[in-house]
Amino acid sequence: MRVRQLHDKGQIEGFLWHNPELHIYSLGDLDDFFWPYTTWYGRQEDGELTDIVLVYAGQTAPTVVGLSERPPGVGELLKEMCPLLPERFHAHLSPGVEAVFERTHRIKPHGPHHRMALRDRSRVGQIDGSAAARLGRRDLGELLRLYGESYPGNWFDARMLDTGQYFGLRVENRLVSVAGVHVYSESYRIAAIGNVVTHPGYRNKGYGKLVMARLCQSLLEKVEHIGLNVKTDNAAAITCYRKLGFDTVASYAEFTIEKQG
Amino acid sequence: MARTNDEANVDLETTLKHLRLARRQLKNIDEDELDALPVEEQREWARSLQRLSVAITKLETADLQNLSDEFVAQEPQLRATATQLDDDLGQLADAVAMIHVASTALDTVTSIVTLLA
Repeated sequence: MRVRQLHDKGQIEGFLWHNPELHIYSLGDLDDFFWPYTTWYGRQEDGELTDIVLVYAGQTAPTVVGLSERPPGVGELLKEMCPLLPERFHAHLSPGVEAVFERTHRIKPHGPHHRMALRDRSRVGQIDGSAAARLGRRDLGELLRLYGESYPGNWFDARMLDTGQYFGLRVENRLVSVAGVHVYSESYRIAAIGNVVTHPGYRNKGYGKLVMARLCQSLLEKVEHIGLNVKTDNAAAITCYRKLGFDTVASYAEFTIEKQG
Repeated sequence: MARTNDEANVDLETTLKHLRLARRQLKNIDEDELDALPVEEQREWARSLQRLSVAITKLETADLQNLSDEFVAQEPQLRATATQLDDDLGQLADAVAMIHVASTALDTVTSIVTLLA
């Protein structure tokens, strides 16, 4: 096998910084908080790292991240490292890469997604987000209730509340809209926004845009790069993110993949 | 935040400490040494790291006020297994031996942590 286990943060970081917007989640996972949950694999040519795959096990099911500007390379790497992968995993893969699993695994698609990154920072500054409040552990019960009602199957991790980068809007004392982070690293100056939701009874009122703007304003005090993932068929969210200054920087797809037999 | 429940005599903090140290020892196996191992050993190394992380995540996020009786009954064994695993890994230098010790201990850890559901 030409696959190498990668332990050197500096080497991984050097590779990922070539395209920080594509690798925003992976860069954040180099932070000391996330690093212990990661295993990294790479392929080298002439001593140079050409492709990287991350296995992140900080959720109850591992996630395999295989994103690249040259998908065939990361596909080759995944093919070679197939024996090292978990039996069942969630996957974020560049277009077409899932084909390497077609003969050996069951593949359940969760649809195409856009990776978006904040490129026009001026826009979030123009929105008054002051009605949104910073959320913490004391708000956990309310948050879980909102996610349960409005976003079942979310990726909320209560530990991320400790970053202080969760914001919510209350209407008549009820939490109705929330935006937070999946990945946050002040060391790497990276944040990936996630678990953005507005209660179905309170949509189309601009609440999502307001909490997102407040979150981005807070994040920009600490980080350089802000990104997020969104399903390509979520037109309302994409429109909102564009208005806030986000642009699509890559496409990929999400899957649940399970070894056959 | 301390991960203990004195009423139920449950101490997840100690278990977490040893599991995190065990993970660090397993993660720090030299990459050249790992690359030279048969693929079965490399797979078991990766699987053990993933099982450790999942166990740690479950313990870090467990609702301490709503632990099942079954988990509470087996928690001392979980703590002892985690402590022993950390100690054993600290005494081993051979990568294959470390991987095998971890794999065996993690069968126990995983089966108990699953009771947290």
